[in-house]
Amino acid sequence: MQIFMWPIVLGVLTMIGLVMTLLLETGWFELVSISALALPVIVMIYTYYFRDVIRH
Amino acid sequence: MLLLCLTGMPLIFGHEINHLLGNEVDPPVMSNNTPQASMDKVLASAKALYPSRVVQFVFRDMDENNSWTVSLGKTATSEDDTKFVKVDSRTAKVLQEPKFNEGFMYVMFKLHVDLFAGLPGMLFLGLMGVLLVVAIISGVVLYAPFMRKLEFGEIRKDRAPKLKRLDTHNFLGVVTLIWALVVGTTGIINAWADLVIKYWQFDQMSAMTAPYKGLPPPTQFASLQASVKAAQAREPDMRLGFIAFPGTDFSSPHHYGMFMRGDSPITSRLFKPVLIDAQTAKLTDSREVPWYLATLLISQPLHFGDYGGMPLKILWLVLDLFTIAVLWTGLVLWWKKRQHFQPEIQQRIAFDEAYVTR
Repeated sequence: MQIFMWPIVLGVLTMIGLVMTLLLETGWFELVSISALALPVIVMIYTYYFRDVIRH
Repeated sequence: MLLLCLTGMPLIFGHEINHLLGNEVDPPVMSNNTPQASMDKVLASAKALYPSRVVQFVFRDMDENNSWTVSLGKTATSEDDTKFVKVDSRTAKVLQEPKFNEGFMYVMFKLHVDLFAGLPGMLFLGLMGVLLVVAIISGVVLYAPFMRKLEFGEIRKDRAPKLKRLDTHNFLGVVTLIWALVVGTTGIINAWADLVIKYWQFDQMSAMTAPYKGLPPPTQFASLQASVKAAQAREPDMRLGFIAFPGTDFSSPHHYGMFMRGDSPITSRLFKPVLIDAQTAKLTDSREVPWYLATLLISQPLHFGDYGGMPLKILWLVLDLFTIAVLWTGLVLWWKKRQHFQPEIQQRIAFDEAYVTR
């Protein structure tokens, strides 16, 4: 279960982002939903390029 | 799948690319309270360019309020050599003749949708979508044993290239998992679009036009503007999305099919048909979109990512690029593994041949 914890968190955020942008109109909700969808991308870029650099 | 990801990228920015290539011209800026011209004038301007042609559809993009595009075919249902005329909806002046059925974006679109093979091509790509979903699910099953001794997102960059490739494949794959599943599943639904629309015509449209069955087609047509007004009166909170002219697949020989849409990202996709008698401009019938057509229409924005403005388009592009990386690393891993086992197979074949010859 530990292995799937972060993938599940990111998956749920992606789903929220996809659905909220479709259901809710412009405004703060749109910003929140786009951010939810952008988070997996940010995590990916951070983990791939910056995490090791920061740790070292 | 690689082809679908590659051809999907320009389609995300189709509107912007068409502008850059000069295929789309915006209407001139005018005061916000400039009145709209009569739809009859808009239609007359387009028809004046191709008087022998039959008007098939009048449509506009959902974020476009100042122009209409008129499609004119050789007959009401012909699809080859269709002419398009974009007309300013305030002045009824012709803006341009967009070429929707040629050029770079057309090639990308056809490769992405049906490989230039019509319905068989669409269904084939739908099958590829099913295989993608199967590959994703099998990838999730294989993820756990590979990640047992690694922390989330760990890429063994200082180890053999094979391990780095495997970790990259696993990591990018699991992070883009839900997005790829949603885009893959909605792609499968879209592959059935033609058949779903055909079923809707059989199921709903035929019932809506049943009272007119067997009647001779009208020889005189009512004003288009009056017909639009009648449809707007029926759905005052919606706005006109497109008009299907009499004889096309989305109307009957006796009707204008007015397709109304809402304003929100989701309701703007759900076209509600309002049928107007083409001879009298009177309302005939209007029905809610059935569940199967609603599923198809809602799946389209989730596939194309065109419902949240430029930020969503950029995210779609990035996620598409990551998916290409997952596909590419998966392909290389499979190829290398195949090469690794090939000498062993050759050896076994040689051994078997030697054994048989003895």
